[in-house]
Amino acid sequence: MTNYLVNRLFGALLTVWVTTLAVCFLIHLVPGDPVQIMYAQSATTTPEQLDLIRHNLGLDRSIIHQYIIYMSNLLNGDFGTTIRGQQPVLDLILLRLPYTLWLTITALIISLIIGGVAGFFAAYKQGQWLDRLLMSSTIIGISIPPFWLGLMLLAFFSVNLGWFPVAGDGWLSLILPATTLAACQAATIGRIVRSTMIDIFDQDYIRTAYAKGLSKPRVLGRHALRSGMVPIISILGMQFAYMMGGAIVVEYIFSWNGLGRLAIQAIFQRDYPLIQGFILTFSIIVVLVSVLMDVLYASLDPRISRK
Amino acid sequence: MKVIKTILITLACITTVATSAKVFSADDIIWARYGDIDTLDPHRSTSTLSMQVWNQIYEPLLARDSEGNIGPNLAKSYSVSGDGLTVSFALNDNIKCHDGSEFTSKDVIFTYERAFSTSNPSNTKSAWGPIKDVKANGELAVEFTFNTPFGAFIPFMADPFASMICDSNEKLGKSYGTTAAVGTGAWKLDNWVKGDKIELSRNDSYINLGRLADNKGAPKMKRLIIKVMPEGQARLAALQTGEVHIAEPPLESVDAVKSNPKLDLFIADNTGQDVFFEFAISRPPFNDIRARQAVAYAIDPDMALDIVFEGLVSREYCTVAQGVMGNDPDFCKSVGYKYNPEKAKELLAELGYSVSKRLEVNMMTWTGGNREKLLQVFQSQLKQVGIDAKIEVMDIGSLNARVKQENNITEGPGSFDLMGWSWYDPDILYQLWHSPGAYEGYNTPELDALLDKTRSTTDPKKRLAVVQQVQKYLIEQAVHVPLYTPGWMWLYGINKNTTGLKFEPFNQPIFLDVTIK
Amino acid sequence: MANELHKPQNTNSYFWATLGVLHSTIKWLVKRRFLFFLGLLTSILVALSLSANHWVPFDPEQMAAGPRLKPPSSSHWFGTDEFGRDIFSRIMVGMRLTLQVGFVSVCISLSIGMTVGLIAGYFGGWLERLLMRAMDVLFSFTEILIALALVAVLGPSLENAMIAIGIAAVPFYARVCYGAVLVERNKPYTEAAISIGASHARIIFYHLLPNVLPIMIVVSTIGLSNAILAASGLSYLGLGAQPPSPEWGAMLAASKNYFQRAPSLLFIPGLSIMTIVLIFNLLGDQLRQMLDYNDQGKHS
Repeated sequence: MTNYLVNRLFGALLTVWVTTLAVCFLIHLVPGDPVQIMYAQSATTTPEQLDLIRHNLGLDRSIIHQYIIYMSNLLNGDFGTTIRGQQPVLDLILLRLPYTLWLTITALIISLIIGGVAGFFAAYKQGQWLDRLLMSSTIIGISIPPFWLGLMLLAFFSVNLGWFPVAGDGWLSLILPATTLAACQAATIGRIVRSTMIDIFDQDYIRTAYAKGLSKPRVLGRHALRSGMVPIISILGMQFAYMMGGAIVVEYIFSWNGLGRLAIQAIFQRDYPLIQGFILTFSIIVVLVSVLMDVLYASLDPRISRK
Repeated sequence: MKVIKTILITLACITTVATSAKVFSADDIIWARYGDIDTLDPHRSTSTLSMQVWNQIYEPLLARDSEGNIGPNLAKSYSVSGDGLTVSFALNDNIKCHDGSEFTSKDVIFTYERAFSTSNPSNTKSAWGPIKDVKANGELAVEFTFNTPFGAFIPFMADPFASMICDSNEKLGKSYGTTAAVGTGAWKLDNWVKGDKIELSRNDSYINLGRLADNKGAPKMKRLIIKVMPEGQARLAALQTGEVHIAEPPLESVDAVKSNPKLDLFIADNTGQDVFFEFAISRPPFNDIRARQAVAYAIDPDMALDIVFEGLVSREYCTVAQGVMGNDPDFCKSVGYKYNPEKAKELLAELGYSVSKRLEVNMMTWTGGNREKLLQVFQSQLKQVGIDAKIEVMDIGSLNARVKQENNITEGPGSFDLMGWSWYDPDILYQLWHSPGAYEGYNTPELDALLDKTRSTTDPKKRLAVVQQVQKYLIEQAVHVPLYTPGWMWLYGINKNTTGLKFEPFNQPIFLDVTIK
Repeated sequence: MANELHKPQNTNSYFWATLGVLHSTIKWLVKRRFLFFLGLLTSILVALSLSANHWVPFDPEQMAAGPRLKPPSSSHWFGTDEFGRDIFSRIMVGMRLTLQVGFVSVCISLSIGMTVGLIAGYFGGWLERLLMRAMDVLFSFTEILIALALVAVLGPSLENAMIAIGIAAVPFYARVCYGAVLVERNKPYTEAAISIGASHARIIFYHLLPNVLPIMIVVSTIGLSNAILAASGLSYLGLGAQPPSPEWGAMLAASKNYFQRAPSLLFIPGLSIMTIVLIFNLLGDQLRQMLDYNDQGKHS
């Protein structure tokens, strides 16, 4: 078990390290002079100040030097300062991060419930009309552009019917964006649950449980469900990552005050320090969650950790 | 699995409780706009977004009444010497800055010296005019001496750009303008959350010495919250639900506001706003007048305005807006360029462009006001004559900096922008086009001489004649291609429960009388 | 399929042989009629989109003040947008852009991904570990982030979006290819080729590649729909196609302000994206089923 843990942690650290490399050097892909582009925003930045900024970022030194400066800043908690408004990037990110997490986690839970229930019943009634109906709706589910779904929900429920606020901070404004995010992933989860459950229903131990005389709910709930959950957890990490990505667009549509919306604004404003901070934070969170999920999965399924 | 679920749900609940803590109370006025201010420092920005907020925190020496006449404010009276070279102000007594310090002639001198500082002058320094010297005659009197008479000085003293900055701001150092600002206005700065909102609270010791309001004391409401809501539909929805009391509706939904029984639509007239095209003349192609003329001939502003604004704006032919001295549509129309795509193609051919060698340029403007849509229409019109214009939209602060930058580089594709300025006097032409110019752009000695004359001529009739000469020059040279007015933030959707909102001339909202039922 | 060939009759054997082949093909097509239908539909759409500029009723960029935001009518089948442009013409021309973006992105991902997968799977050793680790790292970034990061630095344009999405999807293709190569590597024919001294290049291109190709094709069709969704998403945000491009995602972005006045602006581009994506998803699904039937021993 510890071996496995160490392995995963090492992989995670490696990923984060590569991220810092990528993020630091991303700025070199910019066609033209990045400092000039960044500071086109500030009317009062003189050429001398631009040179000073360049020096502070290490852009006038060697690549290794730049990276050292960047990493030492990072480890001190300094993610840089935004161009617009001169705010510390880390503060701004931490301010908005909870909203994104809130949205993503809610959406994940919703999609697990919907996908889980749908997949379960589809497997239970395998081959019948319910199964066919649910499975065809999943194909449609993964074909709907998520931003279109979001727009339509916004148009219909917020603008037309006025049931939900168009923008806001509370639970009520969370419902539509979370549903949008959840809808597309629920389809994938539904399919996986279905195929897992079908395999399980076929298993000998289920038949044994029935033979022992246990009631249907008991068999399904206690035995089938429990072992069915395990494969779901294995993909939970990936699902979380997809949702974090999807949240970026969804936040933009619903004016949800999260990290994704901040990132999009940063991209339009060419605020590279903020963009770098965002990419780094996003990666760290995704990696953290996937390690967590892997550890959880390993603890539930001893076969993995004993490899 | 259950454990995890519990943890997650708890986290979510905690987050809700934490975030629902910030609730707006019933004593707040909530005003939503499409963008944020650039700064709280009146010398560091020129955007209307910033100016409307400064106007709440600071006060200028003079103020305008509803007809536009200049009257007293912080200064209880002023006098201009016979030769026009000296202007004296007598200040009102007992005016307090937000930090408790007295407002005296020292603060006036501080503001002036700051605007004229050689290392970091005000963005609107030239609007002050050719001032030779300023001195205090005691605590409550200030005297400005000029090199040459400058008629537009008095109107400028009533403008938010000439807001008086208390000298106690000096010790704030770098935080002045970003996190702190001390003025004498009706509202004090509590907090500026960049990109999100500005929170102002009532100045209880405020005395109204000349602003446009019935209320002669502190504002009736406790707080004024100015929110940033870039999405037009979100602002409209917030207005409709009452979350927001005052907001600019999206231009497509003006009818929805008019027909909504809970909302009023206020249209600010006399905004002094002029939206125009200007070009970066530091490099080809726009250093050649023919390229600029080609653009002026290629566009059909009437059709574009019709498509994008559906009658909410009017075509502007002059470089100064309706209601400002010098505005004469017939005259300006006669010297301007009419829609003529064939002529545009001819000029481009002269410059060496053809079907196979199309002219590629950058076309910029700032966010909001359906300007991006307008540029899309112009883009399609320009494409038809062989100009491929790439659209770039950014916020007003970035645009102002970028235009200046473009005017200084000598390489790269040609660039021109849709810009807007509002001013109460044709002196704006001096500020824009007299060297070095607000954007360090086009200027010529000939134009400079004419512009100098607009300042030194005091006789109104003679001045008008010179102003018209300047306009003719600018329009014929196609460096200032006037398009339409008004251009931005002139529409206000106001909740019917919000009464008392008044507007000083040139689109300056005053909240002193506002009450919310 | 081959075992269903009729035995030729004594007389006119060629005639009966041809008939036999036709019979088998038709039987095959009928059996896989859904796949056939999808393939036909795709070809029609591709042909329509490639020739779109020639047969659409209106110039997709022509603006007009009069017919703005009109609902579908006999002259404007899908209605008009906020600039008076015909939506139907824009949709048809936009279809070419959509398919183009999908196709190019997939080509980029496929070529880089397969190269990585083939090399890692075949050579093994440190190269395998390095490449697959790199793919893991890239994979954990998630596609959207990579695409956003690339567009952020390169600047918004449809070309950059294509490249960004192409690069972002590489780990996915690399992993699938790698897995397939591992399976093929263990098969007898590979061992045989190695033992007779075939060169690396020959083994990779002549033996491995053709056997890996079927699964890559299946994966590509699904990848195509993902690429199309990603590209329209980026264009919706304003980071992909720029005006006046009739790209479907960009058309949706403009519709936001006109929900109540012109709902067709919202429905039609979205529906179009969904239709194309659905077609490719179904196609991929059918191909995958066919592959599973042919490859006995694999679960679906």
